[in-house]
Amino acid sequence: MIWNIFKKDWKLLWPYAALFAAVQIAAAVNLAFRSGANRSGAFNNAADVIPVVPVAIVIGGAYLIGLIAQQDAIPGVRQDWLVRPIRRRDLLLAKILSVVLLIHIPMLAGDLLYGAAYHFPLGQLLEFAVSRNVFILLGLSLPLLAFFSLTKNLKEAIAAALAIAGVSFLVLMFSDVYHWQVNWIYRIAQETGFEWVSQSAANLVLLVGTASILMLQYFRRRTLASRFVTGIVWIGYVLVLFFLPWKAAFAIGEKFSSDSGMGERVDVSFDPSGARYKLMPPTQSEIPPEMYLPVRISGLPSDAYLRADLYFTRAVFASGESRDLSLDQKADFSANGPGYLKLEFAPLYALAREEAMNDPRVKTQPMQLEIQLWMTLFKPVDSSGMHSMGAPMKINGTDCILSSNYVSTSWDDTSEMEVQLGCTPVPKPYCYTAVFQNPPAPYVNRPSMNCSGDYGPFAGRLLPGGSSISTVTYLRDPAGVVRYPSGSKDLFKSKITLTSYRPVDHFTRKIVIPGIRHSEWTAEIVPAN
Amino acid sequence: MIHVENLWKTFRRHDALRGLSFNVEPGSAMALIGANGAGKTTTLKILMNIMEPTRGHVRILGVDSRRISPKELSQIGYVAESQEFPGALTVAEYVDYIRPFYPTWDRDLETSVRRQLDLPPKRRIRDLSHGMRMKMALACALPFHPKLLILDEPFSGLDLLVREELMQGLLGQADEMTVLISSHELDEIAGMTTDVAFIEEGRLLFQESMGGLADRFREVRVTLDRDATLPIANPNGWMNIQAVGSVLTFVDGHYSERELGERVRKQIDGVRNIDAEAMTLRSIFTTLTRHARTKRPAENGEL
Repeated sequence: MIWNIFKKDWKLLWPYAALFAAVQIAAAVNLAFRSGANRSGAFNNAADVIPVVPVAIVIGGAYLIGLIAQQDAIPGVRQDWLVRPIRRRDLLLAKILSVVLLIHIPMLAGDLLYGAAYHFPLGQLLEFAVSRNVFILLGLSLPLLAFFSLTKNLKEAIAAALAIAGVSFLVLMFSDVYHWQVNWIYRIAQETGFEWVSQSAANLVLLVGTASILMLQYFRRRTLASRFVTGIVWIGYVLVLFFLPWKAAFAIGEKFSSDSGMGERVDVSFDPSGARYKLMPPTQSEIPPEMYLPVRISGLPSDAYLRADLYFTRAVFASGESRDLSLDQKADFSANGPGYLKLEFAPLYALAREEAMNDPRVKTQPMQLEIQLWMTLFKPVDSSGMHSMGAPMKINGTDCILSSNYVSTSWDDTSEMEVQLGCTPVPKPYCYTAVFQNPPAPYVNRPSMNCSGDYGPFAGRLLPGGSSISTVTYLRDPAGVVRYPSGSKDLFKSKITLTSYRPVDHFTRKIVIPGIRHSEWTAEIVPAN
Repeated sequence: MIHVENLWKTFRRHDALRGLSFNVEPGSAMALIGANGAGKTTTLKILMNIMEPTRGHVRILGVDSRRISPKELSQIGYVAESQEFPGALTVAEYVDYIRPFYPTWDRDLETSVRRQLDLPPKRRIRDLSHGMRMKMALACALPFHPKLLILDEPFSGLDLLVREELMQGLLGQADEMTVLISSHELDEIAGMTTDVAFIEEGRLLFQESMGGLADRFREVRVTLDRDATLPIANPNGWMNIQAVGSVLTFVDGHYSERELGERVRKQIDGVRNIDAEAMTLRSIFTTLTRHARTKRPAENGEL
């Protein structure tokens, strides 16, 4: 009977479905032609590599899903299907089938058409397009079907959508205003390598909520209860997505470590004999207040890469009083030996930074620093040489179409050469370092890893928008200062080695540094060229 | 076939049904009558599990209405004035759509009923008149030989010709089915119902066979040898009592040819003549409705 119900819906909705499919295909063809014209140019945005779904298509798709659901609306007492011997299960499955065939098949065709314009292997493209469509089906289309099943007609749906949008806007405003404050207090997982945990958990909430609403509606016709569940699910989704505590996310990430225990021997200790960090002079005369703590790394497996994803510093003063001092992200170590932990004094939350900086004890008294580090160990996967204005290349078996790079120089570590590749699908994993193969003497490479996205096990596969590979190369002068030699634009002609890494283990470490002073570990300014 | 026991339905603070109970026996044709808002449609929707009761029990085809499954629904024909159909389908497409849901669908009967009701197969449902839509609903409710046919105000808003056609369509199949029909078009259903249940404000006032009802009610005209006055207390079963000159008229709800004279004379002196006339169902309904609205609930039960 599923097919019978679908056929009825098709007879009623085929003009809308045909229009939706035509727009999908036209958008894909247009994008393919547009991008084809730019093939000799540069891709700076990964979204260009994947068919962009315009807002009109999203709204059109939502409208079509609304029509599908409301052909046999659940709320109300006058619908014909209520008095027919139709299994509720069949009705639900027929609606899902309609969504798949009327929405996702055209979408899949658009993706394939677009990808074919780039001559990507069909198997690879099919895998990506299918996984993308499954992701959208589970993460968007079915939740929309559940939403529309709560309403009798489109007027009701629009009113409900406006109400939800209004509430969501307020929540996002709240989230935007208080995001960093909450981060400082709870250390949430958003915008870290473990964001995939909060996204997955939020998607799980959405999926379970969607399933519950669809079951309640199609099997029990409990619209009031379903609307209540919808509110709970939406609040749960927002809370989990934006406010999942960091420790919980990290613990879940640890469970998914592919080589758990590999980082057991890794040690991070304070090195009081280490040299002070050097910087070129700032445009303003004031010395930056950040502390650069010399540390020594040991036990790091050869060719591995170590990152402190997040580190939290507490200061304990001689009086026994203490204060939260700093919450920092991304301290990288490419080998055993010396390195630095930069304390920016709660850069994630400006108010906390000011409070810490304005605390007279911080700058005048000796203090004990207690630093908690949450770390990730990476192992290399693949290494490829390329010209910096490189030609098409393969990374981890994935075709990367174009590359671009540019040099931007400024006074601090932001001096960099950025290497960009647009790849479809995005290769897994997608953490990369780029180093010059023959750096001009006396400069040396300073490897720096960049991850597009997070450490999710399905990263690059399920991201609907895709992403590009983007990483930077640094050169360091003999004094250890990051900068480029004069005429650095010649570096465009040199070769770069691009190495990809995957996260293999997550673990925590703690450093306790007794009796140090702020002034002893700020940066040392060195003359400009 | 249908057993309704102490059925309550509350919408917010309004009790639409207040302990309604009645039975529909197999093979009977029960008319559920009552004024607008009496609770007829609510009762039928609860029977079909379209609505849930607040309290009480309903069994239909031997199953609790809340557990009614496609198996039972495939044996129930349902036609309602307010039923919504997929308007963009043609009549033929709609019939093609619902036919596979009914294992006992009889295509010959379908053709016969469609011909009898003169339905245009290629016309879209949204372009049909109200009467045509009702005929289509009936044409879709009969071809699978339902054991039970539930009709909710099927004649509402229809002209005489369409009513006649619908009645003919119904009567052609009614022998095989149990029928429950709600209506306030009493004259039309009088010829096809065997029993009647009268509902007022969510309560059952009585359930009775049509024959019993017709026998029980009479419009009585009593001529006196003096000016008539209204009795101080209404005798049991007397309704709509009026005194004009020397004539007292009332509707007797407990009519018995043998006992009428004695009962009247016990209440009134100076009786010269007593006439008792049979009543139409419409007149009985009107009288009962007026009477129910002027009496307290406890007294209604006396009917």
